[in-house]
Amino acid sequence: MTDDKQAMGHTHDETRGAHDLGGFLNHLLAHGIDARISREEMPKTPYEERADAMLLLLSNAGKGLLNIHAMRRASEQFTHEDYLKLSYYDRWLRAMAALCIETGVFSDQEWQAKQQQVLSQNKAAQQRKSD
Amino acid sequence: MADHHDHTDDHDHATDPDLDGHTLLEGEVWEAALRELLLEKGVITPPELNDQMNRTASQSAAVGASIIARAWKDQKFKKALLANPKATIANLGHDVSTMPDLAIVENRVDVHNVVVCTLCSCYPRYMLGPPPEWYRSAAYRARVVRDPREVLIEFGLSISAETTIRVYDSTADFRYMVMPRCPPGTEDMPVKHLQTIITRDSMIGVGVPKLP
Repeated sequence: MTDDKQAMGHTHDETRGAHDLGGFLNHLLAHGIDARISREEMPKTPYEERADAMLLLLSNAGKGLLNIHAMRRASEQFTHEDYLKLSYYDRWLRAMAALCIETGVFSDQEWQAKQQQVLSQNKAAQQRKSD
Repeated sequence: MADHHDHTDDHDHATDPDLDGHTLLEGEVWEAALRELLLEKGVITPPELNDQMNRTASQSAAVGASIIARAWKDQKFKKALLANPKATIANLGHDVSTMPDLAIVENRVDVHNVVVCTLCSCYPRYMLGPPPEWYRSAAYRARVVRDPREVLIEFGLSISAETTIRVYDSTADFRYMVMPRCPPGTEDMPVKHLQTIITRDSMIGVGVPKLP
């Protein structure tokens, strides 16, 4: 009956991968995740649309640079906290960046520098806007 | 003042609204940084990115609906579709070369089918378009395998206690979609009209086709 008991409690052994959510309602609740299913049809934001496009372009159906299994493995390595906290596309973005670094598409240094560049460009744009 | 951007880089700003001066979210920074690096390295090009976004925008559940409607009308086609979905869909002129394997599970009076991807968000995009947000949510993934009857009620679908509910868990290599039951009173309806009542949700299994 151990299985049944465990099933009824919806407990999630934290040694499982963070992605392994099937049946583990209490695991979500323990991490402060809303268990209600929101059926609101939200259109993707522009950055989500571009993230989605990059994901498909890089994957098997596109260039085959990062196959879907590698991509999944990258996102399945996140901590439980990160996995549940990050939005869907933010998870994929993190996974894509990690794999690009791993496979040498770009270096970690380039990745960090580019983020800084994006941030400072954004700051400059904000400055111009308030001028 | 007029906001003139300094175009020192060579990629397409039509797809790059990050310089409009709103404070970027963390994910927006990651997206911009990843995109710019991939463009700089020549891994992807702006037209490829635009084309992919257009392709996705043009995908919808209409493909799935037209195929199911045809199966309702044509028993021979239905048999072939259930036995060998990809080949049968390819025979209609669809390009299924990049489509993962697909099974179409048929609802019956005594069995109602529902699709999920508990590990991720695998979904028959070619047939149904991009997955809705709730399909990708942790809540749906965690709950529908445990208590599908309750989850379906939240979707406004009450399944009789005598009907078995089967939940199909998709994977990266193998996708599922549901063939809903044809509602009574549609015998004389042409395929063209039938396909309009076959909703995306009815092919995921969280809804059923309804007559207008």
